[in-house]
Formats: sequence, structure tokens, C-alpha cells
Amino acid sequence: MRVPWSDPRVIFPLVAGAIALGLLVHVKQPIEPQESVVAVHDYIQQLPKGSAVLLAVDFDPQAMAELRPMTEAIIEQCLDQDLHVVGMTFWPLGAQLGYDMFKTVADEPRFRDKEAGRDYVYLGYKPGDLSQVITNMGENLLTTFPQDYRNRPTGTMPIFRDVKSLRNVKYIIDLAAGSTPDAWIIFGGDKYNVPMAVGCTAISGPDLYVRLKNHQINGLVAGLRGAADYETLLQKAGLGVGGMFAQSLIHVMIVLFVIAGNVAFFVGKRRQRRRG
Amino acid sequence: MRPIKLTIPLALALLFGIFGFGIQYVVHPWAADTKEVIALWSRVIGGIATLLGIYSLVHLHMTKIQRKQEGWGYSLFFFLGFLVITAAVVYNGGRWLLSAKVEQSVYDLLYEALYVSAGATMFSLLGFYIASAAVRTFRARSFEAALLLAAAIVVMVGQVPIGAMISPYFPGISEWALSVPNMAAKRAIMMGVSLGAIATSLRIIFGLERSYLGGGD
Repeated sequence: MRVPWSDPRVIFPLVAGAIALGLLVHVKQPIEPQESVVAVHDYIQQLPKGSAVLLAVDFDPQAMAELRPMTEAIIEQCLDQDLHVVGMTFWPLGAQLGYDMFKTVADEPRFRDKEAGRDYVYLGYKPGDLSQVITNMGENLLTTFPQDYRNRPTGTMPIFRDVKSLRNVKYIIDLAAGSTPDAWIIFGGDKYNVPMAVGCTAISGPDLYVRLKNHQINGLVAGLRGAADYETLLQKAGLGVGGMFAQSLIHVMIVLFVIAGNVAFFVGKRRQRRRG
Repeated sequence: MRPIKLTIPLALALLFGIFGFGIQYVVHPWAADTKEVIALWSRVIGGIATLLGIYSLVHLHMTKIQRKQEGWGYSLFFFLGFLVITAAVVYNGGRWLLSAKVEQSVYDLLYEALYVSAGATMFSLLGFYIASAAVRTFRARSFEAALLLAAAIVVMVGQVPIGAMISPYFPGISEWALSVPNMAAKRAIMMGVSLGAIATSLRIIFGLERSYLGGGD
């Protein structure tokens, strides 16, 4: 039996309506941050001032809705903690997006004293095999990135005075929409003994639980929910928290769709059996 | 031709395979320098491969247009996008390619207004198709399918704040499903894939696997 309203012409407007309603109407929901998210937040919080944190911004605009809020929240926390943030990407189409995120946070009035090249730097995109580029960074960060995204020489930047390679980095966070976390974990975190965390899309989250439980990463921020948790920890509601009601509505709607589809399926089956 | 097509590539695979593998276990500074040089070469090859990719893409769309194959009109848009973006990057707000990237340039405008919007829109469409597929295809046709369905529902509801409002058990069960059965399955898959990768690598190094050389034999 076919669900009478299963036509996309009915489903699509329903989904659009639920998302619009969720985004326009602000319903406050209690957000209890997940342990894996708290771990990332707390690890950054306890890093000594001036420690270098590497943020690999490995996504493009397609995954922006999920990953941008958490990336900006993490950059913000690092700058707040007076940590030195080094950004880069393996995604050619994410290079400009990464730059925009660093700029958006650094342009906030409270970070007026932060300076590119001294407190943070965005190195941009580097082509090549991931394992080889990460190995290069592990041996020498400055020869791998002789210039930053805006073509400024990295050799003279104060931020790199004590950070010559991955070995001098205190924390690596890969914010990824694809398979880059595996390469970062194997060739970056594990090989050079640097603690690591991953921020990923909700769909990649289950894949990374193995790494989390193996302690290859000490934290995991997955999907918009992860971003909302992070924003809750920072006590600053942004796009993550703002999107939670819409996501709740859609999840419940899809569950109802699945239930309705199955009810129709079993009713149809029973009718068929009765007919013989 | 046999040495050029077969013997030399196999010998190179053996040599570099053993060398690349063995050097990881040498702690001498020479080994670190050599690894850096190899990584640098790899990046240069990556750059050249990008050029090859561009050539291949241009050739593919050019052929489509020349032969007026189905959907050739879309190939015109490829060239339009490719040329406009390349021109914007080369022009770089009037300071040209080798200067520092100019902010608020035409490239930024194209990226923000076209690529970001189009990319986000394309990905957003997934949500609509998932909802539609949920109604049409996600059926408890067997015990295993019913189990999968139940797990999916619990994880979906448990991952959003409303789940905890419906029942305080949802987040806990969702976390358990991800940390225990999900992880067990993923670990098994990862181990299988890793063993397969090691076996294939050894077959390539020792010349047993030759399909990468092309040809039928």
C-alpha cells in the first residue's frame, strides 16, 4: 500500500515548512553537551597560553552548515585563551571558506588586539598526497608552507618562532567533511605524538567512534548538534544552537515518516494476504 | 619493449616499495631528510597531476561539445565557469596572480555569491530526498531490517535535544548504539580493509599484482 501523501510534492513542502518554522521560531531546548565534545573544550581550556593549535579546515561550502559553527566556536575559544591558531586545508574549494572563518572571528571587536602572523595564521590549501604533506609538516612546517594564504612569508612570522614542525604543535583539530581525519590521525597525531580531536559532519560521526574509543583522538564534535554543544559550553548561542529546533523538528518528522511508511506497508501486506 | 613495459616498472615498484616501507623504521637524521624530500617530490607530482586532471576535464567537455553528445550544453557552462574563475584569480583585483590575494575581489564575489550558495543548496537537497526515501523505502521487511530501523530511530531521536525531552533514556541508548555495536562493526571493517590493503601492497611490491601496469595480462 502506498502512503497517500508520499508524493515528493507533499513531502518536500512539509520538510521545507518544518525547517523554516524551526529556524524562524526560537524554541529553547535544554542542551546537555556530549562527553566527547566536552573533552575537546576542556582540553583547549587547559592548554598553556601561547600553545600552538593546528586547525585543519578540511571542508567546502557543501558541509558549511554543519561545520562552520563549530569551527568558528573553536577558533574563538583558542583566541580567547591566548593560544596561537594555525589554520590550513586539504580541500581546494574550502581554502577561501577557511580564510573567511578566521577573518570573521578575528574581526570581532574583542579580538582587536589579535594580529595575523602573531596570534593566528591561515596557511590555505596545500596540494599533494595527504600522508606526504602531513609528513612534510611533521618534519618542517615552514618549507611545507613558505607563504600563508595571502602570500605573506611565514619564515618571518612571530607565530612560527617556536613552532617549526608538527612536533611543536600542542593540539591538532581536523574539521572534516571527508576522510582526512584518518590521514591526520595516522600520519599526524599518532606519528608525531600530538593529541588530536576531530570535528565532522553528523554522518561521519559513527565512523570516528572507533578512533575516539581507541584514544587516537581525545574528542569528537559531530554535526550541528556537536556545534550546539560547543556553543553551549562557550555560553554563546550561535548558528549551532539556533539550528537545534529545526533539526529536532526534522528528525522527529523523518521518524514519523518512517513509522507511517511502515504502517502503510504492513496494512497493505495484510490486505494482500486477505485477498489471497 | 618488454623491459620498458614490464621489467623496469616492476623493479621500480619493488625498489621503492621496500625503500618507502623500510625508511619509516630508521631513526637516523638522514632518513628524516630523505622522507622530507620524498614528500616534496610527491607534492610536485600532485601538482603535475592537477594539470593532467585539468587537461582531461577540458578534453572530455571539448569532445562532448564537438560531437554534440547528450547534455553538451552543460559542457559550455563548464568552460564558462572555468574561464571566468581562472580570469578572476589571475586578475586578482588588478594586482595579478603572483601578488597577495586581494580581498573583496571578483573572485571573492564569485565564490561567496555563486559557489557557496550553490554548494550549500546542493547539499541541502539531500535532506529532502532523505525524508522522501524514509517514507518510500525504509521498511521492516525482515528481522534484521526491523532492528536497523529501530536503531536508526533511537539514534536519530537521541542525537537531538528533543530526544531527551521525549525520554531521558534516548541519549543514553543512542550513545550505547554508537559506542558498542556500531564500533564493533566498524572495527571489524577497518581491520578487514587494513589487512586487504597490506596484502595488496605486498602483492604490488613483489610483482604479483600487475593490473596497475595496464594491459590485459
